[in-house]
This record gives sequence, C-alpha cells and structure tokens, in this order.
Amino acid sequence: MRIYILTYMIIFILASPLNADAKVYIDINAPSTRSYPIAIELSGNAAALPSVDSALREDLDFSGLFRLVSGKGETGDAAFWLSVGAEALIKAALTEQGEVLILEAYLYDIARGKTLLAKKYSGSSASPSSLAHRLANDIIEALSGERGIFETKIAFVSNADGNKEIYMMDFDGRNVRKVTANGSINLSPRWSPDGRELMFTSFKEGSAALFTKDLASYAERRLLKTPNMNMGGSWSPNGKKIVFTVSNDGDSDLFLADYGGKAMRRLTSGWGLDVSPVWSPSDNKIAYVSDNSGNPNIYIVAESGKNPTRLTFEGKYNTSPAWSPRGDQIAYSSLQKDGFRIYIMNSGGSETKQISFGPGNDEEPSWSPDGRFLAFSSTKDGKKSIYIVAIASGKSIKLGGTTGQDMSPAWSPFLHN
Amino acid sequence: MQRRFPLRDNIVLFFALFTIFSGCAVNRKVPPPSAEELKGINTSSNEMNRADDIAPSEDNSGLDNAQPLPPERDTNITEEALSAKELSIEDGVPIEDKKPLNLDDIYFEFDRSDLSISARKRLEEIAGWMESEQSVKLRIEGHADERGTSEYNLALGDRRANAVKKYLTALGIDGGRLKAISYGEEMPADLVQTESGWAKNRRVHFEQK
Repeated sequence: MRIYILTYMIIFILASPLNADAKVYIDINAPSTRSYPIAIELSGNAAALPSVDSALREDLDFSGLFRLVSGKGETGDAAFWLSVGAEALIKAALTEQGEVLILEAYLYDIARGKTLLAKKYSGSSASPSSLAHRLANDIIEALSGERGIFETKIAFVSNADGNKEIYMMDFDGRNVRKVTANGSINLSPRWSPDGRELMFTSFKEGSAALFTKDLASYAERRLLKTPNMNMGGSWSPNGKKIVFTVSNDGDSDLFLADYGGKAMRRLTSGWGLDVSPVWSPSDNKIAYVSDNSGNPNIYIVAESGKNPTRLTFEGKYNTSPAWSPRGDQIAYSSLQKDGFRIYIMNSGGSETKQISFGPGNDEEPSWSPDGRFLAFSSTKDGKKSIYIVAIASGKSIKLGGTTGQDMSPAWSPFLHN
Repeated sequence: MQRRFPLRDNIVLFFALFTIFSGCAVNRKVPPPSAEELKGINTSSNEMNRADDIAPSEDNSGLDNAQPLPPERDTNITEEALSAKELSIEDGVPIEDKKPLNLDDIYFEFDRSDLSISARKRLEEIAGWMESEQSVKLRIEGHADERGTSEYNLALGDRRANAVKKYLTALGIDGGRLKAISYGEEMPADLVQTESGWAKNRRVHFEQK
C-alpha cells in the first residue's frame, strides 16, 4: 500500500506542470477568452507522426481556446515563433520502439523563456491519437490550471443493430464500441462519478429495470429487487447513493437507495409522473422531471424530500435536466413550435439561455466535465446523431457515431488512466 | 385493494335498483364503474371527448360489430353466484357466442392517459368477455409516441396500461388476471413521424395469455 502511494506521489510530481507559481495563461471559465496563440513542432521518424500531429491539432482546435500559429521556416527558434505571433511552443519528438510509441514533449512560454511542461508519454502504436489526447490534456492543465477533456468518453444509445444497445465513443466520436449486446432494449446510460461503471435501464429481464455495468470486467448487476418497473437512475456525487424512478400502479415516483440498491426510500409522491432524476454535483439536491402541473417540467427537491420546487414555466414540455459540473446551471430540452431545443438556466430557474437552434429536435443534453461543452442528440441532418456544442461560442460539431439512430448521450467524468 | 368490495357492492345495488325501475330483467353488458371509481382513473368528460375526436379510425372499427355477450349472462350478481351460474349455463351457450371480442389497440391523446368513451365501451366488452371466460388472462402493454424522452414515455406508457387495468378491475375483473407493462416509445406500431403515425403509437395493446 505504502509503495503504491509513493509511486503515485512520484508520478504526480513528474506529471505536474513545472511552474510552481502557476501563472494562468488561459481563463477557461471566462465567457469569452482570447484565442491563445500557440505553435506546434513535432519531429521524429515514427510512421504514426502524421496521426499524432493531426490529433493534437484537432484537440487544441476543438477546445476553442487556441489559435494554431503556423510558420514557413519552422526552425524551432523561439525568436522566429515570437515574430509570427506565437506565445507558446509545443516541441515534441515521436519515436517508435517495436509496438510502443514514445512521445517526449515540452511546452515553452517563449515570451518569458519558461518551460511549462516536460513529459514523456508512451503508448501502443495501435492508438496514436491517445498519446495526442494525453499531451493535449497536460497542455490545457499547464496553461489554465483546469483538466482537459481529451480522454473523456461519451456513452450513448444506438439502434444500429436493430435494437437499442448502449455504446461508447471517445469525446471526438472516434473509437465507437458496443457496451451492451443483450438483444433487448437498453436506455438511459449514466456514469458513476469515478467513471468505472455505467447505470442503464434495460428490458433484458422482461420489463424495464435498472442495471449497472462494470466497465473493466463488463459484469452486469441488477440494482433493485422490486418487480415494479424501475428506471432512469443516477448516482450521488460521492457514488454512495442512487436516485431513480419506480412505478407503482401507473404512478411513477422518485426513490433513493444506497449504492448496492438496498435501503430504498421514497423521495417524491403524488399523482404526477416523476422521472429523469439527476443529483446536483455541489449540494444535496436532485433535479427531475414531473408532470404534476399537467405537463412535464423541471423541478428540484432536497435529498430529504423537502421543498420540491418547480423551475420551468415556459412551454409545454420541459425535460432532461442536466447539472453543470459546478452545479450552478441546469441544461434541459424544451419543446418549441418547431421542435425540441436545448436551453441552460441557472439552478434557481432564472437566466434562461437558448443553446441549440435545430432544425429538427435537439434533445437530452449532457455536460462535458469541464463545463464548457454540451453533448446532445439532434435530427438536424435527418438521422438522429450526437452533436457537441461549445457553450461560449455556440459552435457545434456532429460526432461520427454509428449508422443507426444515436441518442441519449452521457458524457463521462474525467477518467483515470 | 380494500376499496374494491364496497364499490362493487355499490354497483350491484345501483344495478339492482336500475333493473327494478327499468323493468329490464337482463343486462347484457357489465355495468360501467361508478363516479368514485372513475375519479381514481383521472378522467374528465372533456378530455374523453377530445380523445374520441382524434382517435384513429381503428379505435372505433370494432365498436358497432362487437359480439354481444350471450343473453343469458347476467352480471347483476355476486362473484360467488356468478361462478355458480357460470357452471350451470356453460353447456347451454353456443360456441360461436364465446368467441373473443375485439382486442385491437385502444388509443390516447398526446401526453394523456384518459380513457375515451369508445375505449371505455371496449373495456366494458372485454370485461364482460373475461367474466365469461374465466381462464383468460390479459397482458396490457402501454405505449407512447416517440416525442419526449424515453424515460418519461416509459412512465406514461405505464400510466396508460394501469389506467386500463384499473378500469377492468373496477369492472370486477381480478387484478391477478391482468398484467400491466410499459414499453414507452420503444415499440412503435407506426414509424411515420407525423400525427397520423404518432396517434397509432399512443396506445394500449392487449396480449391474451
């Protein structure tokens, strides 16, 4: 145990940005930031060089934080890069040893002549983009103090094989793979806070019920013993509790239980349908959808069950609440005249802002763990696909996904590697 | 559950009086539930009328030609008496009179689970049939159209299936013979993404077990 801790400490120290005084070059949370001018010099003789180079450039571009400076005579000379407007330089060398790629990378503040990052990465030559993602994460962290999202994943539902199964892909839509393959109907994936498990709703045992899947062993476990329909669960921020919907004679209410699905207790009651609960990351509140008022609307309730409060009053169908990672905002989808659109409001229900503009239906928003992006499903190109929108700029991209209808995206937390 | 017996007694009393005053000795249909029972299923006449207006034609197709129950059937009796009578009349009922009636889907308005007038008539016929066919069990599948989230639609399908189940149990059918299950928006009957398609997906489907 002690050796493990020691090893972790050494890795942590080695992996930390070198500048202990931690100047913040990029304020990641500012509503609009100046694009930080940065140059990339990648050298080496490995065949994967172009893949790593393009993946790194795509990551930095995707973040919306950088302007990639290019120069004709890329000499590696700091004075040259300064002269063409760059303020930082990424200098990296890629070598190949058998099946292993090694990337030795440095990040310089060329104006101040400081080394901000010096790190060696190694990984399988089968996935060169993962090296680029790890370097891009460290670059973001060195310049902003916040973690990068380039190793995060998005779980989603697709009917590519004829029935709805849970799938997963990298945040950029690469590496699509199936998570469930039970031939039944599988819905509503949600990540555990540590990123090691997915909770989902499945008909694999007859009627809808909640299951978890361990993403390392792929073992599946039914969460609740109740024979009643149960569905749409999510975890508390510390992973120790779960909140979900159980139906009783046509009335769907929210319940809580411990991590193992035991010690179930009621959270909401009454005639309305209460579904889609999500736990606030910052306090003991749960946002959910209820049709108590006659139409589906977003509510929040304390974990004690006290003070259920309605947050949305506009429109006839407000659904799919998703807390921002800091807990200060809630994204949701709202039915407008021409279809569902994504909105954000603060957690008190005010300062509503429209984020997506169709056409078609934009539904089921999910936040990136850095709070700067939303994933959602949209039919804007006909087929339902997963899109990502940068909240600050409004710029959106469509992710590759599957050949089927892709929906219900769930963005992972920061993942440990 | 405890409520059922007093309510049924009320129905029996009501129909006993009705029979006396109308001078009609034979009821061919199962009595409709009382006002109190309807309250439990959240219906209102306005909504039911609207539901009738928009229900697809399939909804009404079986109504007029629905097979009447055998004239001997008199539901104006207690359960014990009914099963006793069941035995005595069994041999006298021609086989063609026992054929199951229309088990076609019944339909709902968007985001509603109210039973339309035609749906209630259909359920009364089904209840009558189930009274005469004591071995019949029904699986009641609630469905929703694709609009809205899969989670909300699962809850909505469950509410629809249970609205039907409650109506049938209020008519005297043992809940143990009825299984409600929701498929939400997951098993559409029609893939057309317009109101005509959606209307066919907002349904309760019956499977005889």
